[in-house]
Amino acid sequence: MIKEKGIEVRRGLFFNKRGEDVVISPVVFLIISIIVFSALLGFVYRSSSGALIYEQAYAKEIGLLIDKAKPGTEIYFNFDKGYEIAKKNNFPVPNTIIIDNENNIVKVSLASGGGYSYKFFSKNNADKDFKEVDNQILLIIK
Amino acid sequence: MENIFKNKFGGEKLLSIWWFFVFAIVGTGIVVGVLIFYSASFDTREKQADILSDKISDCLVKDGFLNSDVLVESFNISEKCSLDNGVINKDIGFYLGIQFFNSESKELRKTIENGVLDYAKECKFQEEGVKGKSFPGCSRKEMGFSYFDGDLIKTGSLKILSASNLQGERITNA
Repeated sequence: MIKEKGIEVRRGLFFNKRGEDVVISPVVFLIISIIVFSALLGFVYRSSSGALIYEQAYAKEIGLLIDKAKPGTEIYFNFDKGYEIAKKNNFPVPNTIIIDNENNIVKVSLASGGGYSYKFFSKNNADKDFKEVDNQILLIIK
Repeated sequence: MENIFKNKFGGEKLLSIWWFFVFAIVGTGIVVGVLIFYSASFDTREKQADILSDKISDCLVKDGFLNSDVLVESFNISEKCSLDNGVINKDIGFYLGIQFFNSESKELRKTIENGVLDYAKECKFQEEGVKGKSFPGCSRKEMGFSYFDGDLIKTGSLKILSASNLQGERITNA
């Protein structure tokens, strides 16, 4: 408790509630709401169209295709989202898919900083060719 | 002038620290929900196990006849079926078990087992209804075949159990 000009003044979270009288107009409230919810919507949109989910999906798809295919098989598969995300992130297309035949690993990266790797069990060697014009990838199983 | 900018009395107490608190809770909820949803893993273990057993059955039995080398002692399944020896034989997430039977006597003629042997038990647990997050995806196949025993054509059957527990992993560039 503090005494000011002989009057007892109670200050603190529970005693002095005059802080609540600060006026923020509905317009400011509206602007803040719009900013907060726009940021949240932006985050949800970026997450849903982002690299994380597609890197995993493509790595597993390619790994299973290599496992399943017989030597001499050529497989075309759609990679339009992969091209789109890589371009959006300024990531070079030739680095998006790396097939390590020695260690039996497929690595897919659609943005710098990381990617997703998946192991396959087939001894067949696989090679890839980017058919960007058709939004496809050609997988060649040898 | 009574308009939205001059007369502020109506909205005085609309926004307080508690509104920011509500924003924070709603925002955190949405962010956490989205992160959980999009970080979920596609489970391809069962599919991979299925592909493995398909590959084995295609390789061992052609046109209904068992590959003549299979029952030989030195038969190397990795080599004959284009499986990577380093992947299948090491404890990195695969199991492959094959049993060959004579049709007449139901006698077990040969067993081939590779990979993580515990997965055979874990597959059985799953078939009995036990659930576990770390259990592998399993695939079981049974098929009949014919084979030459000297000049005679005999019949037999084989049981394949394959399991995969490979999930893939996120990598970061150094």
